[in-house]
Amino acid sequence: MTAALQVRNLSAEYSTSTGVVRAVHDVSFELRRGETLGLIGESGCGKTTIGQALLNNLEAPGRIAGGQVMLGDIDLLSLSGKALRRTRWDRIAMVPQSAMHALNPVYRVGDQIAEAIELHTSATHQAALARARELLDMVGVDPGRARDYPHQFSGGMRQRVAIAMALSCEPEVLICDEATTGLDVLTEAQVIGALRDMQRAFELSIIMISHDLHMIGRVSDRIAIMYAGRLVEVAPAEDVRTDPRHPYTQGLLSAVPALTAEPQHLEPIPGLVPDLRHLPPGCRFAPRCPFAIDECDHDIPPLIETVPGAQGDRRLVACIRDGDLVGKQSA
Amino acid sequence: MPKENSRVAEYWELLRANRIAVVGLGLLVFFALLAIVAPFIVPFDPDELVGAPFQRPSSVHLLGTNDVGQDIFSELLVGARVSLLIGLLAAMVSIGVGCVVGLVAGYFGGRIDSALMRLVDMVLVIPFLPLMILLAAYLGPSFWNLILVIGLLTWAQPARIIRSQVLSIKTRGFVEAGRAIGTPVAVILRQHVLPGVIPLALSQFVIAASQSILIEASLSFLGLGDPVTKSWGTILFYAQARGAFLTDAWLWWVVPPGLLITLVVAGFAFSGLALEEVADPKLRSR
Amino acid sequence: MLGRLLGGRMLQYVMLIVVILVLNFMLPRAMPGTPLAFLAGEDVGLMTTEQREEVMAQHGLDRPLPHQFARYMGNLLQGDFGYSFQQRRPITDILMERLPWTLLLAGANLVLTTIIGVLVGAVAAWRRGGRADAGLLATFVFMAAMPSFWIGMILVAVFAAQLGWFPVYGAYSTYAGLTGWERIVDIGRHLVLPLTSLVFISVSSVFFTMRYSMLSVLREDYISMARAKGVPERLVKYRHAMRNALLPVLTIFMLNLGFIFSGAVVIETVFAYPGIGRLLFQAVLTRDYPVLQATFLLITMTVIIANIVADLLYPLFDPRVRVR
Ligand SMILES: Nc1ncnc2c1ncn2[C@@H]1O[C@H](COP(=O)(O)OP(=O)(O)OP(=O)(O)O)[C@@H](O)[C@H]1O
Ligand SMILES: [Mg+2]
Repeated sequence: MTAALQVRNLSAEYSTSTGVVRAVHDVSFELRRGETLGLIGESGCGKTTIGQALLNNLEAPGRIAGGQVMLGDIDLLSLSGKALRRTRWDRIAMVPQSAMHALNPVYRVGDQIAEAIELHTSATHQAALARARELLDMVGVDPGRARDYPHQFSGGMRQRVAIAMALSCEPEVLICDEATTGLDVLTEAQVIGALRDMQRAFELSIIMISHDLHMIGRVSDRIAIMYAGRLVEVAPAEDVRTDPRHPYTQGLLSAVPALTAEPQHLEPIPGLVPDLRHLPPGCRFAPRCPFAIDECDHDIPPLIETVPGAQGDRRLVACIRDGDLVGKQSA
Repeated sequence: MPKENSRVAEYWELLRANRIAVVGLGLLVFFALLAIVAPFIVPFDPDELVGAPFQRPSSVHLLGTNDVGQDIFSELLVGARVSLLIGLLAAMVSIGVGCVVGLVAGYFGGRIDSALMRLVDMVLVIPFLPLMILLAAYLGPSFWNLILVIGLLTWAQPARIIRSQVLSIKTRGFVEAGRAIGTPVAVILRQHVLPGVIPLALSQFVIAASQSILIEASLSFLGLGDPVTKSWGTILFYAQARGAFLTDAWLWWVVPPGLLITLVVAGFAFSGLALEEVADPKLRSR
Repeated sequence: MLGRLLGGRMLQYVMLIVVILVLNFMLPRAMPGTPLAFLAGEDVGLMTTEQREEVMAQHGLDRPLPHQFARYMGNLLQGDFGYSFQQRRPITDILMERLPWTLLLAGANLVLTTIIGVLVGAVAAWRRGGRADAGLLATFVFMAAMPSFWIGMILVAVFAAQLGWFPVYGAYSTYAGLTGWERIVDIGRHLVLPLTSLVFISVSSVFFTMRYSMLSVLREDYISMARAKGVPERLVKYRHAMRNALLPVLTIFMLNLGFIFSGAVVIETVFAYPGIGRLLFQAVLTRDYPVLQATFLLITMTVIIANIVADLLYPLFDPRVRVR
């Protein structure tokens, strides 16, 4: 079975007055058909940048510095102008990080959803509006509110409107950037429920971006962990929870309380996320890593296949000490 | 304090890197020097009748003479002083009032704030030049009346801007925290509020100065200027009254004073824009 | 409903009107000496004491201040602005004769300024940081730095006196007896130079507001979203960005009104344009205080009314302040 989305050596950067910030560095991964892939990492590690880059929609001063984003046999990054406009949203869409602000305040939400449909199909405005109402209904918003303006909705409802907008052209791939951040637990559950329903209805492949390990753990089939612009580990969700391989993943897990367990000892990762303008030469996590050795500072460790975990699925990790550490740490 | 020094140094660095600032400050330095040395380098006393009226430019009278035979070039040089002085003093009044109102409104908030802001909104709506004309006509034209009238009718915009800056400083929490532990108002103001307000007040001052110079020119042009000292606006008032712009004389009697006003005002405006950019990082181009 | 939304603002306008009226009422009476000189404009010095008292009584100046104020307000409400002793005519007649010209000049200016400022400001923002943007920015700073009357004088010197393309002064050719289309053309030709000068000085504030507001709108997420969902760039700019960026311009539009009248006073003086502004100037020259005050009152009221209208119209453009 082919992947829904194949990302190869993606790099993206921002030019600032103090130099070029490479926010995404040589990232490769695949999104399988129908799966939910969680993308997780600390604030500022480049998650949103990846999300925008996957749609080839980075706004200045950001730009794509290289790589491919294969949708079937089309490289989205090689498209521009009309071809790009036609493919995007039709086959790959996103719910942006600030879905709250992603709606134009001066137009009715129904019209905004309909606009996307009209741009990609030959539907009349009436037909598009009717479809927009259906979509709103599907994500749990009263279709009668299509005539309302964004400011008349609560945050959670605007989030759903954004989801409805992303699904308006029935894409194959959906990127959800912090789709539930800032929502209360119940609303979060509803929004995720709505997403699940949509996934079933449309055979969606979803990339869920978040820094909430719990939520990602619950909804994802596989998880990609990101640190300072690079992927450090990609593995089935269950394996990440029970058998994390990369020291950063391990640190991440011990820094987050498990909801179910008894009182636990939480250990924050010492040190800070490096400044993307002044990166260490070798492994970016080395300065904070308890297992770092001299060699870690020499070369950037590649993301390579490692021993499969309990799930038996492929897993990738970017750590030169991977072999030495297997089994030692997970206890 | 090294921290203060580095902050000043950073401003200076940003200013120097900014082409707009260089042009603006350059113009201002030029006119400041001109205003200082003018009385010593003028070829004639601008108030004396030194030749026949309505002369064309010549080697003696570089820009000719006016309707009563005064040397226009000398009038221009000395006029720099008057225009700059009135502009700066009026701007001081305007920013002084604006700062006090903005600080009080922003700092204390609540009813004081809403009352003051109502006042600001009201002042902003009034068409200021007609009101100035009315006041100037009643109070009589004089140097100080001019300054007071301009200053007291232009403080509203700076007050509003400074208030919003104070509000944004307050959101950082130092102010509330300071008040909660009983730090004296003066100390809170000095340590937490003023450092954020002063750069902005400075840029507002420079912008107010540019506006004051223009307003002074307009009032003088309408015959409401200070009758004792001759500003560039006054020169144009006479040029207009004597119909100079209908003859060739527009080239040496009308163009130069207006050009000087434009350059000074632009100098202030450019400096103000640059200072504003330095004070408000959001405006920096990147 | 609407009243509640506007309640705060309306109260403010009412207060402003009261302040302006009281100021207007008090100014002549608070001045040293007899208010007679300011109000009646008669040569007070030449009158005998009896004559003076008679005139005082005639204007009710011998009554207590509240009485005087009531009478003053009563007259105003009936549209009676008093009497100009200089021109020996009721001031209301003079104002009515002048008002259309100022409205023509200011109205045309408002339309042109808004269109030019909005379009050029948007273009500058779309090319942020480029050469066009820098050039436009510098140009508009310089335009804003030029004294309005000076622009007028230069335009007259070049296009009227030297080239003879346009008339030197006035709003129409007197005694030419033009009618119909010819009259319209004549008025148009007289309008060109004053209007150009006025546009010159007032367009900058619209430009700067529009540029800044467009820049901040372009950074909004809904713009990026519009691009992502396939909206062509032209529509992103005009349909999604423009509509939002225009809102602050609407606000500056109101503040601009006061500025435009201020500019009109000066420009009308340069061009001897027979509007309210020139009337104000003439009143200053001849110390015709009643006319001075009436003119000021009329200008201020016009500005306040225009502000109220703009306030009422604003919700049409911004659904967020619309009353549900
Ligand atoms: N417009 C920009 N200009 C310059 N640098 C930027 C810009 N946007 C993002 N960056 C930088 O790129 C890096 C990655 O940013 P990004 O928004 O992708 O992080 P993120 O992982 O989504 O963080 P968060 O969890 O806070 O949303 C950050 O270091 C940030 O400073
Ligand atoms: Mg993000």
